[in-house]
Amino acid sequence: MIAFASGMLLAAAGQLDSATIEIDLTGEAATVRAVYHISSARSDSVRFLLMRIAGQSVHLLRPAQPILSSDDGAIAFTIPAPSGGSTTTEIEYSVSGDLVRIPIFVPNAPTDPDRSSIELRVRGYVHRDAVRDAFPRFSTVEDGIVSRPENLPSFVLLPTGSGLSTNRAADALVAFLILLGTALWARRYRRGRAQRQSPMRETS
Amino acid sequence: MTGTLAAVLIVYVFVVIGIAVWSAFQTKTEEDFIVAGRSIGPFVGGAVLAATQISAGTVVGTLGRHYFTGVSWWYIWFGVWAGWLTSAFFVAPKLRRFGALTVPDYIATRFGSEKVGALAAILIIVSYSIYLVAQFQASGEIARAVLGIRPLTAMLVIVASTSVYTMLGGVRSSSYIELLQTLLIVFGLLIAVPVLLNHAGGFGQAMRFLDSMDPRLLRWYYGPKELIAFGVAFSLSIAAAPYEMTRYYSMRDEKTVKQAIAIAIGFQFIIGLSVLAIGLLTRVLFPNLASPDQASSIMAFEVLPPLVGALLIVGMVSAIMSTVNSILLVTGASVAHDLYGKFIRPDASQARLVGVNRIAIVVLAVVPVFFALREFGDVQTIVIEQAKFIASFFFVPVVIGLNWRGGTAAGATAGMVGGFFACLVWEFTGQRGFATHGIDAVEVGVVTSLILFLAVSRYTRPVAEENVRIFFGTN
Repeated sequence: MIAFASGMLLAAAGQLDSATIEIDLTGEAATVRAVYHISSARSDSVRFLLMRIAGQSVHLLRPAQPILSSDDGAIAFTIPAPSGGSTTTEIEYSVSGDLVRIPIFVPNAPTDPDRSSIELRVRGYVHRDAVRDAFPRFSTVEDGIVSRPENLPSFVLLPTGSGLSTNRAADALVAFLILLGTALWARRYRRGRAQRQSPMRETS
Repeated sequence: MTGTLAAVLIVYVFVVIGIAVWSAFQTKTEEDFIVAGRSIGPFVGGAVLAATQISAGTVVGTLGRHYFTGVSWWYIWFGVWAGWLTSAFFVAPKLRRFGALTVPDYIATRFGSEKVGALAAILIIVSYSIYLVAQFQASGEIARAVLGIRPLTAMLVIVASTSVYTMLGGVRSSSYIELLQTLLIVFGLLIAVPVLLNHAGGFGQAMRFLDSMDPRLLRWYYGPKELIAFGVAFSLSIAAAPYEMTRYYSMRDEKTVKQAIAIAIGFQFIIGLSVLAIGLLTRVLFPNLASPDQASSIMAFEVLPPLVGALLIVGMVSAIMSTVNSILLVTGASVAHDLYGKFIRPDASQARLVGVNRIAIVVLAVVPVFFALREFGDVQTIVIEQAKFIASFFFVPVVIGLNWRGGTAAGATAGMVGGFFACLVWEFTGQRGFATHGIDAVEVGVVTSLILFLAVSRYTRPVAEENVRIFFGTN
């Protein structure tokens, strides 16, 4: 029992105290600057993982000489971390190609919802009317859009505003199903009531 | 999102209160309260069975397991369905034909001893109180992640609201509310999957990322020994689960019970696949959550569009409520009908029995909150543990007892007590060496229970023929 319970915690390298991600969109490319503060390191290294997204190429600018591994699904690197101490990591990379999803390096250190702070800031996003469909949830600020989720996502979704919005379609489908369900129930209830009343009339 | 969630919650609460009040007017006798006057049909019955099965263990725990361990946990469902089929063919028809009010009623009649029935009632109360801990813990996780409120507050709200609708209308209100809950969960999950897939950029991209993250996520995180142990625990506990068996009693007849089980398996298949997909896709979106139990509420609150997310959160809360409600109906009836009504005040009136049942529901709902606040393990772990105990003490007297004439009262007592303690002792001793020997506590518990049941029955006084005849007919 105890073994199973403790085994269900993710293998964390520490705790992500804060992450500040700044994304600058410049037409055909995006530059991402990210700063991570990780404390209470429980191992001697922290692994950063970046999701590979189809139709995109990623060029790592900083750190200059990481221990890098790369395959079809992700790019990963590991940095040393002082055991029990805290570490700050700065990563900078550029993304070109399809910019609807901008991948973000995620360390194997979860946040603490009560203490950690995550901030994602995007500049140069022109489709502000589509921001309600963005992921994570963004709000509009003077110089772009900003999001402060409780957990660090593996990418930022920035819809272009063209075509059908999946979010709106899903919400509309739910509203339709609720109305349909209510109508069907009302019809069934009225029929049942009529059936119960007709034998009573016959008897009386 | 918070505004939409509040609106959906308010509408849902009014609907639930409406159903509960309507049911209260239909509830006049103990039979109305405990088995809804035996009036439930196959579709509502199927949704009810699915709702009792789909608990916090599924929407929080199982989804969290898929988030954390990937695909292999899904094979556990075969154990769940094997349990349902065993129940459909070897348990439900005889139990429904017998037509008791509670499962200890069956135990007492089958083995010709009210004391054995009382023992079953006590073991049910203990094991299901553990199950309630998991439900309350899950409600705390959802409340913390979604509303930012203290787990204790959420647990007390769940206790209060569930106790009220359970007390008002008994099984009748529960059944119609559970139909609504099953539909909410099924539609909420089905709509969530394509939305999450769209977010993740498609199936192939998501799977490649998961494979890079940890190849075990798409292959074998758990080995065959572990999967068999978990599957056996679920299978044997579901085959003899008192809170599901009680629902058989509320259905019209044996045919309705079998149809309802088939419909429940259909609902579970849809829910199981959706939960698998959502767990994996949430891992793609948020690879490092502090606890797997947070995956479902974070997905619903931070990723899904407002109405879908709100619907799913309400569905998750209602799944917890429905399971809490089912458990409280069983444990409340165990106290009032099987202990109070048979041993303390055998002459108690119907009104008094219903009153005692309602008080018991409140008391039995509050006690597990204390343990839930201490978080002894993740939600799925607690669910598995209670399943192991239920299987260990109940599978043999229920399933074997219903299909073998030779079982005696002493054999049933030995089987229940022996199975319970064998499971308990192995859990704290032999279970630690599981990786080496692969023998799980549930296997030790059930085998011990079986050996004791057969051996003691062989050498003790047989059950009176009139009791045996009820279940097996004449020789």
